[in-house]
Amino acid sequence: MSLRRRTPFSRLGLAFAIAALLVGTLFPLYYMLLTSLKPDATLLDQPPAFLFHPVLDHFKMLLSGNSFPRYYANSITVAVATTLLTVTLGSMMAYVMATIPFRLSGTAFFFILLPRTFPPITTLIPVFVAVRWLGMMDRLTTLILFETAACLPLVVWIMRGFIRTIPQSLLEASFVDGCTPAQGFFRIIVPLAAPGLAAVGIISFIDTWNAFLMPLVLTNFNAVTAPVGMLSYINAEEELVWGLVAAGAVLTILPVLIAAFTLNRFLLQGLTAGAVK
Amino acid sequence: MSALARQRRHALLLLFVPGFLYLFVVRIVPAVFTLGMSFTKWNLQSGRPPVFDGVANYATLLHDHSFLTSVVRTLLFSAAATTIELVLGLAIALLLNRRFPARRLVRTLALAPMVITPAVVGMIWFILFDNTVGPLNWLLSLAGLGPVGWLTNPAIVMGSVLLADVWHWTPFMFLLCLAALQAVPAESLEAAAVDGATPLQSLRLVLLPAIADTLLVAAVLRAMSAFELFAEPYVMTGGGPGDATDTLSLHIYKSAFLFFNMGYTGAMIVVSVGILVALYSISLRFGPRAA
Repeated sequence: MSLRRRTPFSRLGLAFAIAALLVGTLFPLYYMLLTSLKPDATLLDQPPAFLFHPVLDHFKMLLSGNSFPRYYANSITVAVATTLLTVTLGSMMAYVMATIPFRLSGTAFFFILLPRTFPPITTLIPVFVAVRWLGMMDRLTTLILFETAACLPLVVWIMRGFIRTIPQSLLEASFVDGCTPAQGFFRIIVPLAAPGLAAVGIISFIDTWNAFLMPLVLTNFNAVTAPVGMLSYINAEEELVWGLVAAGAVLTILPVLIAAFTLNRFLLQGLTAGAVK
Repeated sequence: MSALARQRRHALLLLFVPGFLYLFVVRIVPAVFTLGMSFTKWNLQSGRPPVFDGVANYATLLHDHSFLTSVVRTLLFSAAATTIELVLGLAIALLLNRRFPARRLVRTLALAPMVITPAVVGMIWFILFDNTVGPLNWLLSLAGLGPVGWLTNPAIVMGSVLLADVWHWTPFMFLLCLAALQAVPAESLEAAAVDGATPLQSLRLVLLPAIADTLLVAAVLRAMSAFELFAEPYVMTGGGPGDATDTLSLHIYKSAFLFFNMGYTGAMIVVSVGILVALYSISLRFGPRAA
């Protein structure tokens, strides 16, 4: 129920404000989509063309080329592998932190969260030097290794909180039935924490997919990911490359948008549910 | 030792220690290494190993005009972005917290920019700001204004970067504000209304105090990540024109990976982390409860 008086005027104002918000939020995305679908001939029209016969030329050119499909496949490999690794490692660590008391657990937690507060650039130079020295430059494995470490603190932190909300009596009952703590994790915690695992998995996926600095520094040809690879179209300085830039941008954000809409349920409901508690 | 205790030890070794060691080696050790290298003279291109050089790098930094300028530029950007995004985010949260049709869909759409790949945000605005393919100068000309050199005029280019950042991150502030608003009990608002409070009074006297902690946390998180701004200016301007958009992260990146001055860059990194820690401590003083 609302205590505010509803006049036709305030309702009109509300509708206008919401419309303005949506236009401001969505116009940049819409314009990028338009640019990706414009035929080369209308691309540079001033005033910009908003009505035209859309063509898929840029997408075809991008996907039939040598580079972009490779960048894209790299991004998928790195994001999926990192997500699986972080969620597995992170939930195991969180389980131990939440259920097994041990000496120095507070110190350990501090050292797990500490790197989260460092800007990514702080560790990049030693990492770069070490990777070069070990001959691991430009490899997907290297990216996965370091992206996993970048995501891990957040996953441990969130999952530790999540696992604490699972009734300990369930776990203790499983110990009485002869489960070891390690078995308890796989048989009790993993099924019960599935929604939490899915949520942190999606967050890790988005984070890794969006990563820029790490792949920029640690790759140069074979392992280049989509966000970094896209730059070659901006720096090309050739004419009419705009369509490719826009098409690449559309394809690059597609997986993130899908992931985010899946996560939306957790964001708008999960987060607020937590806030009420 | 009981069976359970032994099994727990087992689980600790099996499930926790490997991940912890991994994190320690890949994240903590390099950070310590960065601190160490800041006290050395070390150029990666020279092929010579690092030489201990005391605090010489830090002494040079104090007089490094382009570094100090980029620190100030980044601090100003961070303050402006945080303030604008917090105010806008709160306004949007108040707006979308009212009842209207298709509310869930509108909220979802309003959140979209938050997840967009930062490098792509750079590309989207690179297109929008462009004179030939972009619409912004045409829109201005409809109002009889412009054209504006969004990314070419050194005097305003930082404002253009700010505009892109506001589009990108206001949804994050909106999300946190909305979550906090929804946690405010409806009774306290109703009580205020019964007591004859105007909407503005209930905002100032009931809502704002109730969500102050969230606002502070949101502002600190945003200020810290705005301080690390990298991908967007890298894509849109590469730090230019001149050094007009040379943010701290870009400056550090160039110093390390274009000029390979690793020791000197190490000192820059230590100083910028110092600034972050200082900012963080100051903000904690304002709201001890929020920590």
